[in-house]
Parts: sequence; structure tokens; C-alpha cells
Amino acid sequence: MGLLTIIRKNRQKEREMRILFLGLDNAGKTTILKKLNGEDIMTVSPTLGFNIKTFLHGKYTLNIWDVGGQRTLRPYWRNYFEQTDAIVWVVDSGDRMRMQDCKEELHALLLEDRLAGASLLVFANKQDIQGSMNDVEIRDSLDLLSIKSHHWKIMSCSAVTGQNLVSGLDWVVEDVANRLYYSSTTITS
Amino acid sequence: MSDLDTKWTFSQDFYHQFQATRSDLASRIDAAKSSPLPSAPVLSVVQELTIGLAGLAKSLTDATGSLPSYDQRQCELQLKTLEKSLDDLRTSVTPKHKFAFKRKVAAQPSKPGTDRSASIQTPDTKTSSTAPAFTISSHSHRYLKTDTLFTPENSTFQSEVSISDIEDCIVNLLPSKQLTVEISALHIQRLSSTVLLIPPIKGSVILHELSNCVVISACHQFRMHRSTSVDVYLAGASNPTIEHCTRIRFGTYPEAMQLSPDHQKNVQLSIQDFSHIRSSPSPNWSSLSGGEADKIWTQVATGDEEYLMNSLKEFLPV
Repeated sequence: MGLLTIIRKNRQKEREMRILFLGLDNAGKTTILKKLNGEDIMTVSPTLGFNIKTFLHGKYTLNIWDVGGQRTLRPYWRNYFEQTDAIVWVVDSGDRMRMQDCKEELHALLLEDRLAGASLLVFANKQDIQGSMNDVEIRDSLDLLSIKSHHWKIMSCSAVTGQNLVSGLDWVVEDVANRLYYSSTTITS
Repeated sequence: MSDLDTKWTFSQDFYHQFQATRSDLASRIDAAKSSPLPSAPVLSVVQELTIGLAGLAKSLTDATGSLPSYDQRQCELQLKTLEKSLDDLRTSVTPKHKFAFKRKVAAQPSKPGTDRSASIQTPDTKTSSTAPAFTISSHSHRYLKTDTLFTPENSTFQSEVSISDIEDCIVNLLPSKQLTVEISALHIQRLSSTVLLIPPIKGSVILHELSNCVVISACHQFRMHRSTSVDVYLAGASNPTIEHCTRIRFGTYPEAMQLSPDHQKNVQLSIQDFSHIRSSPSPNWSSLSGGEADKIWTQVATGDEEYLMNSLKEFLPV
């Protein structure tokens, strides 16, 4: 039995996934998590530090780390990279002015060695706000099509109405499950 | 039927099903390999096969524990062979990327992350195509108010407003008799010696590089970066945030300006200073009584612009 087999079996037993929520400040990371967890979202304040949420999704236990996105906190993101199965990158769809900033942060993040192979879900949040950009516009302004190193998908969502939040998580879980437990093939997109 | 029997029949069934799917996939891969089709249709076939194979692998892992270990190992081995031949097929049909580095011909199944070099090489085909928000920029020594800034045509849409490079001004975005502006978010940059009045808005206000200013604002989220000597009168449900700021004073939003019940007053302001993440109180901000804001508000309400501009200096913190 090779080491890989042992590791794979071990994880199979645990069925745990570690998911990292990142994005610029005011993107809505904490709000999405609170909404998923059924908590009150009106009192969410900028995250100073990080939050951890653990909940069951299907047959998997998700450990979700939500790290604050303020500029002063971004250098600390690297402390959370270890053993991350998936990254959820949250974007404020109404914030056209910081799309460039958002794009640079995202692409810098994807160069990180310890995140190699992690699945990437881009949440185009705040779709409930009129005049926000749609997922295609965001895909183009973040230049997602150039990402070859990670499986990625973009989904529009709204943390306020809850639209698409669960289906987004479904995709993450499915994608990670396929990669971790089942096969070494890469699905070319 | 005992537990053991169920397990046995299951493993039998599974084995047969597995073999059937496997041989089907194998023959399809072989067919694709020998077919003279141009590469585009073959690619979609490869895509299909990949999905089929992933499904097969998934079913095998799902069955883990219910199969005899010999069967399990055999299935895994067969799966590996299949993956290998599919990979060969894929590399033979995939058109070469423009920027691809020379690679050894796929001896290993590609690991995630190996293509990273390609993503760096890809040039920015498209710079961000963001539509410009409504902009108020480059003014000095002026009284800017809703009526002069907006027209009925552009005030009705819900939008971001950007305010930048303003000096010695009063910017009054409060609704006038004729016009109410719907603002979803405010971006404010490089203001100096300016009084800024913002009506209650649902979205966020973000401010960069303010000096010697007064900001009166009610919003869902308030963030201020790299600013000095600013008096802020605030209402909102979430904690305001400052980063790289000094000499900031916070007070409460003037009661007279409360226009909607959504923005309940933030009675005890708990400011988060991201440049001072300690338990000791931040030296970068202090609190302020709301009286000054009420004074400004009363004078703005009188609408005497000339008088306001002349007494601008009195309102400012420095």
C-alpha cells in the first residue's frame, strides 16, 4: 500500500473538506456564510481576523475559513493556505472601480504553491443590487479564462436573498470530491 | 437474506456492471484513437469519455468497503490503465497552445498546477471593461449640491457615485426639493478641507486619502483608509472600519437628517481600527459629541450658500 493510498483512504473516512473564503473587503464573505448558516446578516461588520464555520453539506463536513479582506489583513491570508481543498473567491459585483484590484489579488493568490490544485469558485455576489455586473462581465474583468492551473467556475449569487449560495457550495463539494477521492484525471475545460 | 449475502450479490452485480462500462469506455477510446476525424469533434469525444471515466471511478470509490479487496484492487488497476490510455488520446489530439513550453510527451498524467506557467504567459487580452460610475471630480472652492450635480435623467438610476480630487468645497448630496438621488455605493478619494454630506444609503461608503474634512454619512458599511484629521458623523448597523488613519474623530449622525428608519443610530460607536489590532484602545481615533454636526446641518438647511462657503473653515477639524 503506497502512501497515497493510505492518505486517500484516511481522508475517505473523514470526509472533511477545508474551504477558504477570500476576496476584497466588503465583498460579502461573512454575510454569505451567515446566510448559509441561517444567522442574522444585518449586523455583519468588517471581519477583524477570521471566522470558522463547520457544517454538514450532504455527506461531507465542511470546515470553512472566512478571513477578513481588508488590505492590512491580506498578507495574513497565506497563514490559512495549508491543506486547503477549495477557494471561494467572493466578488462585490457592484464595485466596478475595484475590479482591477480584485483581479490582481486573485491572480496573485493562484500563484501560491500551497493552493495548487485547489478548486476555485468565484461568487459574483450582490446580484440583488440593481446595476451590478453580471457573471459574464465579471468573468471577463477578472480574466478568469486565463486560469489554467485550477478548476474554476463562476456563479452569480446574492447573500441577501440567498440565491445560488447552496448550488455554489454543491459545485465546490462535487469538484473537490471528484478530485480528492476518486481519480487523478484532470477534466479539461 | 443475511448481511453477507447482500454484500456478495452487491459485489457481483457491481463487478459485472463495472466491467461492462469499462470495456465500453475502452472500445470508445480505441475507436477515437484510430478515427481520422479532425481534432475538434475528437475533443468533445474526449470530454465525454473523461466524464464517463470520472463517473466510473466515482462508483468504484462509492463501493469501497463492500467489495472484496482483490476485486477492488483489480478494478483500480483497470481504471488506471484506462486513465492512461485516455490521457494518451488527449495529448495526441489537443492542439498545441501558443505559449506552451516544450514538454516531454505526457509521460505523467498532468498534475494540477503544472500548467501554471501557461497562465502567467497569457497576455491580458482585455483590460477591465467596467462601465464608469457617476463621477464628481476635480473641484475647488465650490458649493456642490444635488441640483447642480445631477439632472432628473441621471438621478433615477441606482448607481455608484465616485467623488475625487476635491478641495475647499462643500459637497451636499442630500435630496433637494426637486431631486432625490439613489446611490448604491460611494467611492471617495483625495478630499481636502471639504465638508461632505451624504444622505442615508443602503450600500457602502469607502473613503481614501482624506485630510482635514468633515463627513456626515449614514450607510450600511463605512470604511476609511489612509486619512488624517477627519471628523465623521455616522449612523449605520455595522461597525465602521479605519485603516492607516490618524486623528479621526467619530460622532453620531444628526438626528434632523435621519431620513429612513433603516439606519438606526449607532449609539455606542465601536470603531474597528485595522492598523491597531490590540486590546488597548486605538490612538488613531476618538469620539466626538454630535453637536457640531447639528450646527452644520442647521446652517445647510437654511440654504445660505455664500455664508456656508465663507464659514467653511470653522467647520473643519484643523
